Amino acid sequence: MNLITLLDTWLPDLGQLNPLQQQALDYLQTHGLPTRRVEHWKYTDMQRFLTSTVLKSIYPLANLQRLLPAQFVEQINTQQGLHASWQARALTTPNFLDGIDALHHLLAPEVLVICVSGEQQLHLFPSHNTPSGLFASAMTLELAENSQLTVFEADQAEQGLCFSQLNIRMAAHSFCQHAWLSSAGGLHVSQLNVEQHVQSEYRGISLAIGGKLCRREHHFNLAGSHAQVQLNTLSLNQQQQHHEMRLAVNHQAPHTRCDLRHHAVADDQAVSNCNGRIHITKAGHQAEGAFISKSLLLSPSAQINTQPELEIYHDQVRCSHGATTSALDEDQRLYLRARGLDEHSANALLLEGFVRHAFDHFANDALSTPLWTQVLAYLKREKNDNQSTVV
Amino acid sequence: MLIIENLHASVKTVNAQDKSNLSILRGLNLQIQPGEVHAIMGPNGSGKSTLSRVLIGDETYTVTQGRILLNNEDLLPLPIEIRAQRGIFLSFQYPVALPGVSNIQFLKTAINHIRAAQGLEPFDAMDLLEQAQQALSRVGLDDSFIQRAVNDGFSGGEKKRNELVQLLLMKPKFAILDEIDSGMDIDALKIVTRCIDDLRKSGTAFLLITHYKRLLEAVQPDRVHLLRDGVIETSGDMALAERIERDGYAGSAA
Repeated sequence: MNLITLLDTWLPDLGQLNPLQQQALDYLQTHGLPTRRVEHWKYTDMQRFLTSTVLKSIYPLANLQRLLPAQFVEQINTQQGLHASWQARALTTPNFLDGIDALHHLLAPEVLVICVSGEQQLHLFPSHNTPSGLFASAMTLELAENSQLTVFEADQAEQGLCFSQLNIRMAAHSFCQHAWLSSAGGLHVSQLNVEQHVQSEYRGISLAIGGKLCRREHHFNLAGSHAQVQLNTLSLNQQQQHHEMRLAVNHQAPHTRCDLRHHAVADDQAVSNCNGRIHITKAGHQAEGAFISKSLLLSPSAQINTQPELEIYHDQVRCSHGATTSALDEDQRLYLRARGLDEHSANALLLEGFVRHAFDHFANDALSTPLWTQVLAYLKREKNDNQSTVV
Repeated sequence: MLIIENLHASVKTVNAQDKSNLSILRGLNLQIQPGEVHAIMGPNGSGKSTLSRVLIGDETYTVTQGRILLNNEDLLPLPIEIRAQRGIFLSFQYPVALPGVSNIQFLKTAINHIRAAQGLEPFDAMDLLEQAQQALSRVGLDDSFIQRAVNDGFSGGEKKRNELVQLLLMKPKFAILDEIDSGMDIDALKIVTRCIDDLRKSGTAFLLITHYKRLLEAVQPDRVHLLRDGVIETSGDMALAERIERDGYAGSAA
């Protein structure tokens, strides 16, 4: 059994397909799901995770519109400065990016569009009500000029397969602070697409801590001058978890800035992948971009893959990238032990310091506190090998 | 109270082809009583820093012969952290940075580990904060250092002062200050002197490793030792330090 053969059994549940869904179905039947031969799926083999057990568990189908409580949309519409409505999805690219993109369009034919003006806060739990099953959601946040939005988003599907896509369109001078959390045990494939116009500013933090599979793409299109993005991503995994964080920024206007920081901790047999890509077009005069990745390996069986990429088509820019992967530093461990800490406590303090460093550049306590609670749970987790706690 | 007898120690060579150990300490003897200050001087490679690392229990070094006793307890079987909990303190020549670990978090964790080993209750958080602020003030660092990550972005002198903060709060039985005077200005040296004077009154013994007599002139150690080729070649008072400063190590041969 594979996902493509399962599609036929899903079709009755999907009802009448619209033209885009039909197009997505055709694409899937022709191309199938992406394999590791596709460059941006090089580190994640979806087929490996879509086992028969998983595929059986993701029937029947469910999607956002059916599962979200009706009062969620109604509640949004009672708030001044917010307006939510369902709209048909349309392709933003000439064709589907890959089989996963097509599958997502097939399963979520509509997008919940929320228009934001003034100063607002939103809590989005796109898979909140899906303890198991297949789940797909698409949302778009439209930020008006000079608006400010604080948004907390969580993928919490305990089992099964969860696809989510959040699009944020930021008009001139708008400001967005965004935290994303994946903490539950299912398979999570999610995408963030941000389009930024003149002098808009995005600050975000993404924490992947759960999921047998958690693959998160972040795409930023800096279309207006002086638009800037600051993104911190953090992956904490263990056992056989597989995480992939992808960060991509496209500088399409002058004086745009990006500051991308990735931290990862991999323990046991876990795999943690990261790709950070900065693309500066010919229009990116005096753009500034930086990508830094720091990873810690806590086990000889864990695996870290980091891939920084710069693609620059303008001479007057400032760009940097760097990546480090290591075990806990022996000199730091010695220093702490020489101050009376046993090995276990020294490791725990260094690990907490490493992770805390990832939060240093995100100064919104309301958003970072719930993430830090999850981080502490990871740090205090029981180890399988000897049943000792990490902290 | 600290007795070093016939200490021999070696370190693994960095040459991957050569698996042999490089012998550094070759029969070192030393006794330091509570409240005493001893200074060790010696040419580069004579074994000064190795001695400090062997005393704290750095596992990179292998003790092949001899004994180290602190208050009649053999330290050699004890790992680093237990020696620290027994009251051994090293002010590192090059203190490492701990990004993400704030000074107060580090101090609280370290001091409470030592207190727990001594059967004492954890320090009250507010009391510790107050004492840490006082210690920072004594070494000339402002309160912002309490929340800064340990040694992260500190200047060389600030790192050394931060070592003194830990020394003041941990009040060890035996403290080794490895080239504490390097990178320190004349005012900072006065601070070091005051810290040593205060702690020695309460019984802390000191071993100062230095190349220069200006620290020793301020501290006035009880004994000065010249270490060469892994053994103490000669011992004396401040006159020895003055002779080394005047004639160099080559001219100070026994």
